[in-house]
Amino acid sequence: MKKAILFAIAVTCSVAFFNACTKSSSSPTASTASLTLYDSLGGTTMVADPAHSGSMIEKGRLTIRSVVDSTIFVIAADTSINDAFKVLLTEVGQGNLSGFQALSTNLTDFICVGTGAKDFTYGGKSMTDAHNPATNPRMTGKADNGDFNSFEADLTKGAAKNGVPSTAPVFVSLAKIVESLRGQVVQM
Amino acid sequence: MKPKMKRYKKGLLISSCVFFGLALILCIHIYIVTKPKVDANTLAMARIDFKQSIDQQDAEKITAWLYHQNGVDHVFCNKDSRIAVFTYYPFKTNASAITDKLSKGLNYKAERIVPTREELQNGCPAMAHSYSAKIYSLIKNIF
Repeated sequence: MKKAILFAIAVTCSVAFFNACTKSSSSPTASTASLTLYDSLGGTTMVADPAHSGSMIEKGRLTIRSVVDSTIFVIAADTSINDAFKVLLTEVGQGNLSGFQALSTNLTDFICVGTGAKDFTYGGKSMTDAHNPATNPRMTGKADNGDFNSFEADLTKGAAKNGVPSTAPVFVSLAKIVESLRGQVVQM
Repeated sequence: MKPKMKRYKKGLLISSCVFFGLALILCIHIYIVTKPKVDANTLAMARIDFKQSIDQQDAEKITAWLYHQNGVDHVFCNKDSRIAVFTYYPFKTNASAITDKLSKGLNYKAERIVPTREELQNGCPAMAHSYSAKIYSLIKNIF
Protein backbone atom coordinates (compact mmCIF):
# COMPACT_ATOMS: atom_id res chain seq x y z
CA MET A 1 0.00 0.00 0.00
CA LYS A 2 2.80 2.36 1.01
CA LYS A 3 4.58 1.58 -2.24
CA ALA A 4 1.40 2.32 -4.22
CA ILE A 5 1.00 5.71 -2.48
CA LEU A 6 4.65 6.59 -3.08
CA PHE A 7 4.31 5.56 -6.73
CA ALA A 8 1.16 7.73 -7.12
CA ILE A 9 2.94 10.74 -5.56
CA ALA A 10 5.96 10.23 -7.84
CA VAL A 11 3.77 10.02 -10.96
CA THR A 12 1.77 13.12 -9.94
CA CYS A 13 4.96 15.09 -9.31
CA SER A 14 6.44 13.98 -12.62
CA VAL A 15 3.32 14.97 -14.57
CA ALA A 16 3.11 18.32 -12.78
CA PHE A 17 6.81 19.00 -13.46
CA PHE A 18 6.47 18.00 -17.12
CA ASN A 19 3.39 20.22 -17.57
CA ALA A 20 5.14 23.13 -15.91
CA CYS A 21 8.10 22.76 -18.27
CA THR A 22 5.87 22.50 -21.33
CA LYS A 23 3.84 25.56 -20.34
CA SER A 24 6.90 27.69 -19.67
CA SER A 25 8.40 26.92 -23.07
CA SER A 26 5.30 27.44 -25.16
CA SER A 27 3.26 29.97 -23.25
CA PRO A 28 2.13 32.70 -25.68
CA THR A 29 2.22 35.26 -22.85
CA ALA A 30 5.88 34.56 -22.23
CA SER A 31 6.88 34.87 -25.89
CA THR A 32 4.87 38.09 -26.36
CA ALA A 33 6.51 39.63 -23.32
CA SER A 34 10.00 38.96 -24.73
CA LEU A 35 9.30 40.51 -28.16
CA THR A 36 12.06 42.94 -29.03
CA LEU A 37 12.06 45.89 -31.43
CA TYR A 38 14.10 43.67 -33.74
CA ASP A 39 11.23 41.16 -33.74
CA SER A 40 8.75 43.87 -34.68
CA LEU A 41 11.02 44.86 -37.58
CA GLY A 42 10.73 41.35 -38.99
CA GLY A 43 12.90 39.41 -36.57
CA THR A 44 14.75 36.26 -37.52
CA THR A 45 12.41 35.20 -40.33
CA MET A 46 14.66 34.36 -43.26
CA VAL A 47 13.94 36.10 -46.56
CA ALA A 48 15.78 36.41 -49.86
CA ASP A 49 18.48 39.09 -49.81
CA PRO A 50 17.78 41.46 -52.71
CA ALA A 51 21.39 42.67 -52.67
CA HIS A 52 22.92 39.18 -52.99
CA SER A 53 20.98 36.86 -55.25
CA GLY A 54 20.82 33.35 -53.89
CA SER A 55 21.47 34.34 -50.25
CA MET A 56 19.06 34.70 -47.38
CA ILE A 57 18.93 37.35 -44.68
CA GLU A 58 16.95 37.88 -41.49
CA LYS A 59 13.96 40.13 -42.21
CA GLY A 60 14.76 42.36 -39.23
CA ARG A 61 18.30 42.91 -40.47
CA LEU A 62 17.10 43.59 -44.02
CA THR A 63 14.69 46.27 -42.74
CA ILE A 64 17.43 47.91 -40.68
CA ARG A 65 19.99 47.70 -43.50
CA SER A 66 17.55 49.33 -45.94
CA VAL A 67 16.99 52.28 -43.61
CA VAL A 68 20.73 52.53 -42.85
CA ASP A 69 21.67 52.52 -46.55
CA SER A 70 19.09 55.19 -47.39
CA THR A 71 20.34 57.28 -44.48
CA ILE A 72 23.92 56.93 -45.71
CA PHE A 73 22.84 58.35 -49.10
CA VAL A 74 21.17 61.30 -47.40
CA ILE A 75 24.25 61.90 -45.21
CA ALA A 76 26.65 61.68 -48.17
CA ALA A 77 24.75 64.47 -49.93
CA ASP A 78 24.26 66.63 -46.82
CA THR A 79 26.94 69.32 -46.57
CA SER A 80 26.25 69.92 -42.87
CA ILE A 81 27.55 66.48 -41.94
CA ASN A 82 29.20 64.76 -44.93
CA ASP A 83 32.71 66.05 -44.24
CA ALA A 84 32.90 63.53 -41.40
CA PHE A 85 31.86 60.69 -43.70
CA LYS A 86 34.29 60.97 -46.61
CA VAL A 87 35.38 57.41 -45.87
CA LEU A 88 32.17 56.41 -47.63
CA LEU A 89 33.83 57.31 -50.90
CA THR A 90 36.72 54.83 -50.66
CA GLU A 91 36.49 52.03 -53.16
CA VAL A 92 37.83 48.89 -51.50
CA GLY A 93 39.66 48.67 -48.19
CA GLN A 94 40.62 46.06 -45.62
CA GLY A 95 38.40 43.00 -45.71
CA ASN A 96 37.53 43.66 -49.36
CA LEU A 97 34.75 46.04 -48.41
CA SER A 98 34.32 49.51 -49.85
CA GLY A 99 33.83 52.39 -47.41
CA PHE A 100 30.11 52.33 -48.17
CA GLN A 101 29.81 48.60 -47.48
CA ALA A 102 31.92 48.78 -44.32
CA LEU A 103 29.89 51.66 -42.86
CA SER A 104 26.62 50.02 -43.87
CA THR A 105 27.70 46.78 -42.15
CA ASN A 106 28.95 48.53 -38.99
CA LEU A 107 25.86 50.69 -38.53
CA THR A 108 23.52 47.81 -39.35
CA ASP A 109 25.31 45.58 -36.80
CA PHE A 110 25.11 48.34 -34.20
CA ILE A 111 21.38 48.92 -34.67
CA CYS A 112 20.64 45.18 -34.91
CA VAL A 113 22.30 44.62 -31.53
CA GLY A 114 20.66 47.75 -30.08
CA THR A 115 17.19 46.58 -31.12
CA GLY A 116 17.65 43.13 -29.60
CA ALA A 117 19.01 40.90 -32.39
CA LYS A 118 20.74 37.81 -31.04
CA ASP A 119 22.58 36.60 -34.14
CA PHE A 120 24.90 39.57 -34.66
CA THR A 121 27.67 41.30 -32.78
CA TYR A 122 28.93 44.86 -32.99
CA GLY A 123 32.72 45.00 -33.20
CA GLY A 124 33.13 48.77 -33.05
CA LYS A 125 34.08 50.99 -30.14
CA SER A 126 31.48 52.07 -27.60
CA MET A 127 29.61 55.26 -28.55
CA THR A 128 31.49 57.22 -25.89
CA ASP A 129 34.93 56.02 -27.01
CA ALA A 130 34.09 56.30 -30.71
CA HIS A 131 33.18 59.99 -30.35
CA ASN A 132 35.96 60.98 -27.98
CA PRO A 133 39.03 62.40 -29.79
CA ALA A 134 41.19 61.11 -26.92
CA THR A 135 40.23 57.48 -27.52
CA ASN A 136 39.47 57.64 -31.23
CA PRO A 137 42.09 59.40 -33.38
CA ARG A 138 39.60 59.47 -36.27
CA MET A 139 37.68 62.18 -34.38
CA THR A 140 39.51 65.45 -34.97
CA GLY A 141 37.02 67.36 -32.84
CA LYS A 142 34.05 66.72 -30.61
CA ALA A 143 30.58 66.34 -32.12
CA ASP A 144 28.09 68.99 -31.06
CA ASN A 145 24.31 69.01 -30.76
CA GLY A 146 24.03 70.44 -34.28
CA ASP A 147 25.89 67.42 -35.73
CA PHE A 148 23.67 65.04 -33.81
CA ASN A 149 20.52 66.88 -34.93
CA SER A 150 21.70 66.64 -38.56
CA PHE A 151 22.27 62.91 -38.14
CA GLU A 152 18.77 62.43 -36.69
CA ALA A 153 17.21 64.53 -39.47
CA ASP A 154 19.04 62.43 -42.10
CA LEU A 155 17.92 59.22 -40.37
CA THR A 156 14.31 60.46 -40.56
CA LYS A 157 14.72 61.21 -44.27
CA GLY A 158 16.36 57.82 -44.85
CA ALA A 159 13.48 56.02 -43.15
CA ALA A 160 10.92 58.05 -45.12
CA LYS A 161 12.65 57.03 -48.36
CA ASN A 162 11.95 53.44 -47.30
CA GLY A 163 8.28 54.12 -46.66
CA VAL A 164 8.70 54.39 -42.87
CA PRO A 165 7.20 57.73 -41.76
CA SER A 166 8.50 59.45 -38.64
CA THR A 167 5.14 58.82 -36.94
CA ALA A 168 5.29 55.02 -37.36
CA PRO A 169 5.57 53.29 -33.94
CA VAL A 170 8.61 51.33 -35.11
CA PHE A 171 10.41 54.50 -36.12
CA VAL A 172 9.42 56.25 -32.89
CA SER A 173 10.98 53.35 -30.92
CA LEU A 174 14.13 53.46 -33.06
CA ALA A 175 14.36 57.25 -32.71
CA LYS A 176 14.15 56.89 -28.92
CA ILE A 177 17.11 54.50 -28.96
CA VAL A 178 19.13 56.90 -31.14
CA GLU A 179 18.20 59.90 -28.98
CA SER A 180 19.28 57.99 -25.86
CA LEU A 181 22.81 58.00 -27.33
CA ARG A 182 23.02 61.81 -27.55
CA GLY A 183 24.81 62.10 -24.21
CA GLN A 184 27.47 59.61 -25.33
CA VAL A 185 27.98 61.19 -28.77
CA VAL A 186 27.86 64.88 -27.81
CA GLN A 187 30.65 65.30 -25.28
CA MET A 188 30.87 69.11 -25.12
CA MET B 1 80.46 10.77 -32.34
CA LYS B 2 81.08 12.59 -35.61
CA PRO B 3 78.36 10.81 -37.66
CA LYS B 4 75.90 11.52 -34.81
CA MET B 5 76.76 15.22 -34.92
CA LYS B 6 76.42 15.22 -38.69
CA ARG B 7 72.99 13.59 -38.45
CA TYR B 8 71.96 16.15 -35.84
CA LYS B 9 73.07 19.03 -38.06
CA LYS B 10 71.25 17.52 -41.04
CA GLY B 11 68.08 17.15 -38.99
CA LEU B 12 68.34 20.72 -37.79
CA LEU B 13 68.84 21.96 -41.35
CA ILE B 14 65.83 20.03 -42.66
CA SER B 15 63.66 21.23 -39.75
CA SER B 16 64.72 24.84 -40.36
CA CYS B 17 64.00 24.55 -44.09
CA VAL B 18 60.55 23.07 -43.41
CA PHE B 19 59.79 25.77 -40.81
CA PHE B 20 60.82 28.66 -43.04
CA GLY B 21 59.06 27.07 -46.02
CA LEU B 22 55.80 26.84 -44.06
CA ALA B 23 56.25 30.38 -42.73
CA LEU B 24 56.70 31.63 -46.30
CA ILE B 25 53.55 29.79 -47.45
CA LEU B 26 51.62 31.31 -44.53
CA CYS B 27 52.85 34.82 -45.43
CA ILE B 28 51.81 34.35 -49.07
CA HIS B 29 48.43 33.05 -47.91
CA ILE B 30 47.90 36.04 -45.58
CA TYR B 31 48.88 38.42 -48.39
CA ILE B 32 46.45 36.81 -50.83
CA VAL B 33 43.47 36.68 -48.46
CA THR B 34 43.91 40.18 -47.03
CA LYS B 35 44.72 41.89 -50.33
CA PRO B 36 41.75 44.11 -51.21
CA LYS B 37 40.04 42.78 -54.29
CA VAL B 38 37.01 43.80 -56.24
CA ASP B 39 34.50 41.11 -57.09
CA ALA B 40 31.04 41.05 -58.62
CA ASN B 41 29.39 41.83 -55.24
CA THR B 42 31.61 44.79 -54.37
CA LEU B 43 29.52 47.92 -54.14
CA ALA B 44 31.18 51.33 -53.87
CA MET B 45 29.88 54.85 -53.50
CA ALA B 46 30.81 57.91 -55.54
CA ARG B 47 29.93 61.57 -55.16
CA ILE B 48 29.55 64.18 -57.88
CA ASP B 49 29.48 67.88 -56.98
CA PHE B 50 27.83 70.26 -59.42
CA LYS B 51 29.59 73.59 -59.85
CA GLN B 52 26.37 75.29 -60.87
CA SER B 53 22.91 75.59 -59.37
CA ILE B 54 20.48 72.78 -60.13
CA ASP B 55 16.73 72.69 -59.62
CA GLN B 56 14.34 69.82 -58.97
CA GLN B 57 13.96 69.15 -62.68
CA ASP B 58 17.74 68.93 -63.07
CA ALA B 59 17.96 66.62 -60.04
CA GLU B 60 15.38 64.29 -61.56
CA LYS B 61 17.12 64.36 -64.95
CA ILE B 62 20.50 63.57 -63.37
CA THR B 63 19.00 60.78 -61.25
CA ALA B 64 17.30 59.20 -64.26
CA TRP B 65 20.48 59.48 -66.35
CA LEU B 66 22.62 57.85 -63.64
CA TYR B 67 20.14 55.01 -63.17
CA HIS B 68 20.39 54.39 -66.90
CA GLN B 69 24.14 53.69 -66.71
CA ASN B 70 25.28 50.09 -66.65
CA GLY B 71 26.63 49.05 -63.23
CA VAL B 72 24.91 51.84 -61.25
CA ASP B 73 22.93 50.49 -58.30
CA HIS B 74 21.24 53.34 -56.43
CA VAL B 75 21.18 57.13 -56.88
CA PHE B 76 20.32 60.14 -54.72
CA CYS B 77 20.58 63.73 -55.91
CA ASN B 78 20.21 66.65 -53.49
CA LYS B 79 19.42 69.84 -55.40
CA ASP B 80 20.02 72.04 -52.35
CA SER B 81 23.57 70.85 -51.78
CA ARG B 82 24.14 70.30 -55.55
CA ILE B 83 25.46 66.82 -54.83
CA ALA B 84 24.63 63.51 -56.46
CA VAL B 85 25.70 60.28 -54.78
CA PHE B 86 25.41 56.86 -56.29
CA THR B 87 26.49 53.32 -55.56
CA TYR B 88 27.95 51.26 -58.36
CA TYR B 89 29.70 47.97 -59.04
CA PRO B 90 33.41 48.70 -59.72
CA PHE B 91 33.53 45.27 -61.36
CA LYS B 92 31.27 46.63 -64.11
CA THR B 93 31.89 50.34 -64.34
CA ASN B 94 34.09 53.26 -63.37
CA ALA B 95 32.78 56.27 -61.43
CA SER B 96 35.20 58.75 -63.03
CA ALA B 97 34.14 57.64 -66.50
CA ILE B 98 30.48 58.06 -65.49
CA THR B 99 31.19 61.58 -64.20
CA ASP B 100 32.94 62.57 -67.45
CA LYS B 101 30.14 61.10 -69.50
CA LEU B 102 27.56 62.98 -67.41
CA SER B 103 29.41 66.31 -67.79
CA LYS B 104 29.65 65.92 -71.54
CA GLY B 105 26.32 64.20 -72.17
CA LEU B 106 24.11 66.46 -70.03
CA ASN B 107 26.34 69.51 -70.20
CA TYR B 108 26.75 70.14 -66.46
CA LYS B 109 29.83 71.43 -64.71
CA ALA B 110 30.36 68.35 -62.56
CA GLU B 111 33.30 67.03 -60.58
CA ARG B 112 33.80 63.69 -58.91
CA ILE B 113 34.94 64.09 -55.29
CA VAL B 114 37.69 61.66 -54.33
CA PRO B 115 38.84 62.03 -50.71
CA THR B 116 42.52 62.45 -49.92
CA ARG B 117 44.44 59.98 -47.75
CA GLU B 118 44.36 62.49 -44.86
CA GLU B 119 40.61 62.92 -45.12
CA LEU B 120 40.15 59.17 -44.97
CA GLN B 121 42.07 59.00 -41.69
CA ASN B 122 39.62 61.38 -40.02
CA GLY B 123 35.93 61.43 -39.27
CA CYS B 124 33.37 58.67 -39.32
CA PRO B 125 33.66 57.29 -35.79
CA ALA B 126 31.66 54.23 -36.79
CA MET B 127 34.70 53.00 -38.73
CA ALA B 128 36.81 52.82 -35.57
CA HIS B 129 37.09 49.25 -34.37
CA SER B 130 38.21 47.84 -31.07
CA TYR B 131 41.48 45.86 -31.10
CA SER B 132 39.65 42.61 -30.39
CA ALA B 133 37.37 43.20 -33.38
CA LYS B 134 40.38 43.97 -35.60
CA ILE B 135 42.07 40.71 -34.54
CA TYR B 136 38.83 38.77 -35.05
CA SER B 137 38.41 40.30 -38.51
CA LEU B 138 42.02 39.48 -39.45
CA ILE B 139 41.66 35.87 -38.30
CA LYS B 140 38.34 35.57 -40.13
CA ASN B 141 40.04 36.81 -43.30
CA ILE B 142 42.99 34.46 -42.98
CA PHE B 143 41.00 31.29 -42.37
